[in-house]
Order: sequence, then structure tokens, then C-alpha cells
Amino acid sequence: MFVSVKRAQFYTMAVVIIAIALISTSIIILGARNNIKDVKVSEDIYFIFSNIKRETLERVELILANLTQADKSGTLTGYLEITQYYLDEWIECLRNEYENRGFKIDLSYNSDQISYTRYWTGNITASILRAIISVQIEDEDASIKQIVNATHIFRLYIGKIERVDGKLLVEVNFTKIVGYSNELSIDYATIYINDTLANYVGGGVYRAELAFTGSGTITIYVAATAPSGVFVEALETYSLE
Amino acid sequence: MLLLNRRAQYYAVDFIVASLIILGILSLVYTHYYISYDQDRAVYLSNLGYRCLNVLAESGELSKTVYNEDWETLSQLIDLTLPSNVYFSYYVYRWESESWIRIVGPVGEDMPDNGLIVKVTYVLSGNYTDTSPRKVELYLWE
Repeated sequence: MFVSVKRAQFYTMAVVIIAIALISTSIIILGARNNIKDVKVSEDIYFIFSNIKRETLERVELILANLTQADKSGTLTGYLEITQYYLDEWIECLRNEYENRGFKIDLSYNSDQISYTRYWTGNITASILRAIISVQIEDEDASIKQIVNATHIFRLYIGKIERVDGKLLVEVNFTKIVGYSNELSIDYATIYINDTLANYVGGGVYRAELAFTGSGTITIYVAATAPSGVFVEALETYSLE
Repeated sequence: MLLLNRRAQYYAVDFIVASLIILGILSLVYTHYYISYDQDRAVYLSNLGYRCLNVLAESGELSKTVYNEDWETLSQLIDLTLPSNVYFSYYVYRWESESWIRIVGPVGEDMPDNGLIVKVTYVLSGNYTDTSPRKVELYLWE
């Protein structure tokens, strides 16, 4: 009887001690887990490369918009210096950002391969910035390199002028071409036709109805504007009988 | 009496060895499980964050809201893009004099002191009115 009681006490103690040990271990592990603030996640290099490429193309586009605008206002002094300034600032910014995050990054261009041209012939106008940019990014596991054709073209032309019920229907085509892929329209540009805001009807086509009841000739003036001002414009005279 | 003492010693040794084995195995299982759990959640949150910023960047909304400093709309857009059980807070920086200057943040929920928090980043190249790049740092947690 005495031996049985001792054994029972021993087992009870053992169960209690094991339970306390298990609970303590769980609390310690859960506490340690909750104190982890940042878990190191390896960044997806392909995703980052894709972002860098897209934003670099956007950078070239805004350089073209600024060049065209300065050119239109007669204040453009040297397109190459301006282009290089904007590209160098962008490259420095990316290098700072991604090297701090453990990547090796290299963006470079050859200034001989940069050119800016424009065709302003009345009803059709275009501005073109050609740039070839080498983009390379690597981490411990992967390396991606691509030569990006960052040629951008803004093209604006008056496609159709029709007289309908005492009104003048004007259609304008505004196209943004990036590299060799044709992108229709541009997000942050708006089109004005004789100071009337044109509606986007799809396929790069903008349309406005102008009130005009007289006869003779009318000059249609079209301007593609960004928040900073007009950057491409076209003119056409139209005879009304 | 001697037999009982010897038996008690056996029990004690048995108990100690069994306890050590149980504790060891449980510690291993817990530790492995929680590290792998955290890593999986971190990858999940990180992917969510990248996808969110990517979608907003492709639609042009990220650039528009950041350069217009419309933080309310940006918060609403991020909130719409993320699942309802994921919380966020973000900072926005401007590239100036070869370094990042904070222009706003933290915007969104208060960041918790404990738990898993993941950071994702997106760099914007500028727009027609302001050519200086911007950086969005998005923090996510559940």
C-alpha cells in the first residue's frame, strides 16, 4: 500500500513537471517568434528588372516631352546635354537604391546613339527621341542584362474634318510609339481642338465638335498638352462653302 | 527496501531521459514549423505588395497620386488592391541632391510593435511637371 502511494505520487509529479516544461517551452518559442519583426525575403530580381525597364522607358518619354515643349517654345539649347542630365540623374538614383538593397546594377548608354528629331509640317507633327540603354541587374543567384531600345515617338495629326448639321466634326489621331511597339494614346496628355477639349474615342482617336455656321476658311489648331503645357501641336486650314 | 530504492532510481532516470527526448523533439518541431510559417507568410505578403504596386504603376495611378501628393486616394487604391486581412502603411521619398528625402509617412495603419512586417519598394521615374524620381516604401502585415 505504502509503495503504491509513493509510485502514484511519483507519476503525478512527473506529469506535472512535464506539463510545466511543455508550457514553458511553448511560451518561450512563441515569444521569440513574436519578437521577429522582419523576416528576410529574397527579392524577385525578375520583377525588379521589369520595373526598372518600364520606369526607364517612362523616363525617356518624359525627357522627350520636355525636349519637345522647350523646342516649341524656342528655349531648347542642347538636346544632348538635357537628355544626358536626366538619364544620369535616373541612373544615379537607381544605383543608390538597388546597391543599398544588395543588388549590383549597371545602366549605361552611348551618347553617340542618342538623337532627337522633329517633323512639324502643319497637319502632321512628330517628335522622336532615340536612345539605346543597357540595363543589367544581378544578385547572388541571377543576372539579367538587356539592351533596351528606348526610342519614343509622339505623333499627332488631324485625321478628319467634316461639317455635320452646322457643326464641324474634327478627329485627331495622337499616337505614342515606344520602341517598336505602338501604344495608342497617352495617359496624362489631353487634346484640345481650337481650345475645345476633345473626347478620346479609342484607337488613339480624339474627337471634338466645333460650333461653326459661317463659310470661308477655318484654321484647326490641335494641341496635345501635359500638365506642364503644350508639347505637340498641329495646324490645318479647312474651306467651308 | 533496497529493491524499492533501486526501482525508484530507474524510474527517475527513465523520467529524465524521456522528458529530454520529448522536449527535444517538440522544440525541433515548433522551431521548424514557426520559421517555415513566417517565411511562407513573408513571401506571400511580399508578393502581394509587389503585385499591388505593379498594378498601380501600370495603370498610371501610382505616378499620378504620388506626384499630385494625393495620399488619401493612394491609400484607398492600395486598400482596394490588398485583401481585407492585410494592413499597410507607406512612406514616400523624393530624390534630391543624390539622396532620398522623406516627403510623407507613415500613412495608413499604425505599425504593430510585434509580428511579421514586410517591406516592398517601387521607384518612379518622374512626370512632366516634376522630373525628380520618387520612391514608395510599402509595409505590410496581417
